[in-house]
Amino acid sequence: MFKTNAWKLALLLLALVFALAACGGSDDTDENASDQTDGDQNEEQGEESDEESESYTVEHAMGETTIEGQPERIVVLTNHGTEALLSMGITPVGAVQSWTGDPWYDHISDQMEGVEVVGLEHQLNLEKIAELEPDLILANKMRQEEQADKLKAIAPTVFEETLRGDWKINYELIAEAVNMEEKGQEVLDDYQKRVEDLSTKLEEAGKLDTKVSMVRFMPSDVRIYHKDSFSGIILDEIGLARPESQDVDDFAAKGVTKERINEMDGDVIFYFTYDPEGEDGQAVEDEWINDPLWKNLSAVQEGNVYEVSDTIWNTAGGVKAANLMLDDLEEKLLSE
Amino acid sequence: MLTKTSTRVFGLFIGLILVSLLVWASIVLGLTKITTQMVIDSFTDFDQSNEHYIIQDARIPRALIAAAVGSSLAIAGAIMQGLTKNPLASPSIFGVNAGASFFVVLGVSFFGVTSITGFTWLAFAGAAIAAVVVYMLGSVGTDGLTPVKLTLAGAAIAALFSSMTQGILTLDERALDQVLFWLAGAVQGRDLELLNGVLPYFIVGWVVSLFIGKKMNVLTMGEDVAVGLGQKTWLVKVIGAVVIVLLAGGSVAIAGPIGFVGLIIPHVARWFVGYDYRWLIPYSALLGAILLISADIGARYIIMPAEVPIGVMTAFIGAPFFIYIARRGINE
Amino acid sequence: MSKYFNLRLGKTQLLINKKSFTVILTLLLLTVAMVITSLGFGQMKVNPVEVVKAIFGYGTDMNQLVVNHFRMPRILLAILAGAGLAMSGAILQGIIRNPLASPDIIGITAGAALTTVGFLAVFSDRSNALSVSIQWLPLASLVGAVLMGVFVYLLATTRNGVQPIKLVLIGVGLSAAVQAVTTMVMTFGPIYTAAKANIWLTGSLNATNWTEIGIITPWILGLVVLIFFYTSQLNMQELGDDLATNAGARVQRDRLVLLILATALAGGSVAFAGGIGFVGLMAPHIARRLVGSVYGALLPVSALIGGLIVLLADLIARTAFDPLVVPAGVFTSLIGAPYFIYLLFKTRK
Repeated sequence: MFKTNAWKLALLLLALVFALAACGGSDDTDENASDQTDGDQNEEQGEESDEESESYTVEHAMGETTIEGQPERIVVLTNHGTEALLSMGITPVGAVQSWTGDPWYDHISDQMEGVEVVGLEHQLNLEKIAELEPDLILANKMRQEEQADKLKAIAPTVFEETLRGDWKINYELIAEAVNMEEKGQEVLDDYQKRVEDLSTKLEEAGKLDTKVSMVRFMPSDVRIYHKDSFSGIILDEIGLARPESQDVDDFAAKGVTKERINEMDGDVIFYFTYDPEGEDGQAVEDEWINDPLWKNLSAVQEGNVYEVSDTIWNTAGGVKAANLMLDDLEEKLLSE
Repeated sequence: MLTKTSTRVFGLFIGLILVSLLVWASIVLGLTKITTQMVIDSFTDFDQSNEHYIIQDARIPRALIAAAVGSSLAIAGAIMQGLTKNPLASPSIFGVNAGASFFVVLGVSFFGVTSITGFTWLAFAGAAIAAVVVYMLGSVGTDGLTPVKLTLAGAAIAALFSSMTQGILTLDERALDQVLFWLAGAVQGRDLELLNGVLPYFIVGWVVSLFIGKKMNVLTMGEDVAVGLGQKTWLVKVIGAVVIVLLAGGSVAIAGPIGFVGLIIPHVARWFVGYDYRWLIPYSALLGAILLISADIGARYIIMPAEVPIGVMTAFIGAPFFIYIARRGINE
Repeated sequence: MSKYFNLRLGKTQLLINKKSFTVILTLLLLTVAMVITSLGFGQMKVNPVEVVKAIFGYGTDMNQLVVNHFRMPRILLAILAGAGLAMSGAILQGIIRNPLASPDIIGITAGAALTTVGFLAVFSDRSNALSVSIQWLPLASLVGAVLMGVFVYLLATTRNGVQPIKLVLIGVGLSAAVQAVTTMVMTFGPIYTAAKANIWLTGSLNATNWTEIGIITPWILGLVVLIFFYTSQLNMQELGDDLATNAGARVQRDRLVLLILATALAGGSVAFAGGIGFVGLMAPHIARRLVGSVYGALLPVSALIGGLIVLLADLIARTAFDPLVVPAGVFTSLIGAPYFIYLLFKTRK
């Protein structure tokens, strides 16, 4: 007769599995250390960038990170980060898939050839990242805090603190992380100059006090964008006015019903439709812009309504999008 | 409780007046200031002002949809409670709403269905399948169809359908965006065309439900008694089931899943007229309309200018009621 | 030779069928095999020999990183959370005496979902960053699960103690209401958290790390030990109040303890793995098919099956849509539904 029983056996085996697993886990830390030293050796043997091979330290949302030499293989885990890199002339080896587009936004796709998709901002494919053997990872604390340890085990990782409308906050950190602060500052200065130019031109044309309204149609929602949004901040920088109900320092009015359609009015309306692959958000847009209530809006009656790209005006949220949005504003507001 | 036929007729009359008053209130009350005169003008002398458009395109549709959906869900609930002898039976608890939603999502996602007719028939099919599966699951075992087993079977099927819906939506984001509209459950922002498309089925459901009251009375006395009295019980059950599917499925097709109306209303109706289905069904219809229109009016004022989803409103009203009934106890 | 093993441990006595013993052994081997397969599959294929080498620290650096640091934690969480949910389901089915009860149906998962979504909304500051570390999120989920358990219990208590029927009915009703509130918080809360909340609701193991394993392992194993001493009480519960009382069981007290255990198991599991559905319902069902309903065998078999289901779901979730990764919870119901329906028809006949 057996004297043992299934329960004991089950517990024993489980314990065994976990003991093994625990060993595996603790081995891992040692192994990371050696991994990084390997990296250093490679860098030293690389010989191609001797001047830049000094290390530099970046302070960020999750501590300090020291990066050895100029990073060559960068993986970027936010969409605005991808644009930031491109603007400084860097092509990442891996990037998260764009929110719309397959896999990249239209306005960056020609520069993204050969870049590997490493998942979505909030659902990373860590193994893919590891396989790319990056020497720097650009991450965001809000999106990827939970995976910090694993990312750090792959390569030095720099974390942004927040995700919000103002793209410039994170831009500076990214420039610092890739050790290209000068180039980064140049891009920022260029942008700033464009903003000022546009502002001056608008003022000369007597159009700076134009009340700009922004409306977004989504397949499941209709929103009116306020000041603390990507596009709201840009309008603010230029100094353009907003309709009273939109001149509020928060993100947006969500779940807007037809009864609130008057809040959409202004001297000029820009609307954009979130329409991920297919014609779906389009249905909501069609319904609204064909509604007699929409046609009753003063901006609509005067023909000051423009459809603009949702990617540029909202979803992308990066430096390239910001510049393209300035193009849009210049074209539409100064055309006549 | 109203016992005399004359008071019951009078009650129905009062109910009708209340529904009319609420429809009027639903048209007049809200963010945009509307007066009765404007409502009349919008019919007789349409001047293309915002107010007139809001009356015609927003307020009237939502008032009528709330009335039709509220009545339909309540009647479906009353018949379900009668057929299953379970006071907790209702389209949402029994997974009928979840089944209808799942089929709509499935149709959009895999078969590219976009027409209103398509949605309606998918919703019917989903409601029917869920009802049949829940009934079968609930009657497994030696002790037959007990309320608890039926409720659990309903909850399990509802959970199954909603997690499969979630699964499809995660895999196919395109469908997600298109269908979220339905999954939210709303009478606001729905086109009157939707109601018109489903109205024929609703009317069939309403009329038939008014005529099966007597048969339902016999059936609720017990299967044996009903058979003894010469009733073809299977026929009554089938007709009842068809009515449930038409009314609950049609409601989902128009307004998405809205919970708890079908659960609460038959109980409230029973306070008025007891267990006589000839009266219970019309009373449920009126009370259902009253509840849903009131909830929809309330939804506009709580976080004005934004609106509370109506499914949340009915859940807030319904959940305490559900717990009250459950605590009071049901016969196992 | 008897058909049973007889085991005594203090007051607790277990009879274990030899067939059950074989089943448990088979499932254990299957789990080990699945773990090794799962460790090898993914973006990088690692052959079983290399997997074993990596586990013991003799693999290449890359293999060790992927196998030990990326895949091992999520695999362990899959097993633990799957087992936790399955045992919770098995216990609830015992208390309620109905094979369709489970932690998600009586609202424990819904409670956890509400506090999770609430946590994300409340602690988001004006710039959308979380003002506290996300490490506290599991605690928020656990609190929700426990609170929900408490509410359901209190609301179901009447003068005559707690009737199992009321427990389940109130759970069903309350969870419907709680889900409505959750939807509302998600709709009107900060947008950046909605995506995260959605992943939690579906249930994902993508963000698992060793720290989490370090917390959940003692939690689940500790509860398993406690349940071990309550197995016979659980068998009593299945008899119903009258019979159990005649047999000398303190039915009401035991019921409360078992409910706490079930809530703690499910709460701990969803705290780290999110609202993975259906495992708690399905696993005990399958287990009952294999070994019958004596809890000494049913619980470990349920646990193993639960672990296997989540493990398989996660393997599909991280490999099927390469290079994208989807939440594992999507697949538990898709794996489960066909079996569930088959079961339904089989029982009918």
